[in-house]
Amino acid sequence: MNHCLRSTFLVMLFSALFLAACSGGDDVAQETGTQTAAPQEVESAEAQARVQVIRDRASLGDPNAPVVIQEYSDFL
Amino acid sequence: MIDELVRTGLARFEYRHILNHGPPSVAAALATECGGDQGRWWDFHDHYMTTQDFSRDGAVALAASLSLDTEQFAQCLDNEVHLELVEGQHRAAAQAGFNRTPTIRINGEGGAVNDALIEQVQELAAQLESEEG
Repeated sequence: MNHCLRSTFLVMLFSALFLAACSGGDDVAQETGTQTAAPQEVESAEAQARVQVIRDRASLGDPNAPVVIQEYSDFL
Repeated sequence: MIDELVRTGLARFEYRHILNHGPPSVAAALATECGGDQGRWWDFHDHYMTTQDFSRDGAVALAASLSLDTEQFAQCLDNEVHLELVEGQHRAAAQAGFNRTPTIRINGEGGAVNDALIEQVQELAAQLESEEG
């Protein structure tokens, strides 16, 4: 039961993370510096930049976020 | 959850190693940290969440597939560079009584291990905001 809960939680969490990471950061980063970018492109670039900022070693998110979620877990 | 809590700036997520299953747990944790040395911590984490290959060869193969410096990675593994880190996290968790995996803490308090976590974090963030305001 515990394993099932763990698996469900982790699948939800890291599926979202994986999808975010696979959404083409390099291309968007180049768009950030383009002065003629359309508003939608700028918005997309800003969103992508935020994803990249929050993805750090063993942590995700704004260091100044009011809430810290800590997961103590095993890969097995 | 990432969209609702982390990407919105409401919460930061942190992972801590628990090594409840002996050598395979240690091997996976060390490989993940060695991957982190080259900026791919989450790739290793995601890999170990979906596979059960905790071998050294498997870790090096993953490093190669991610275009990491495999020599540096292998040295990191073989020298157990991050052993103190992962064992320290495990000890700290054990001392705190976090023996079940996963254990979720929200600002140091107990957290839900399902969808209720989102609501729990949102409520806490709202409470903190109102206290500041």
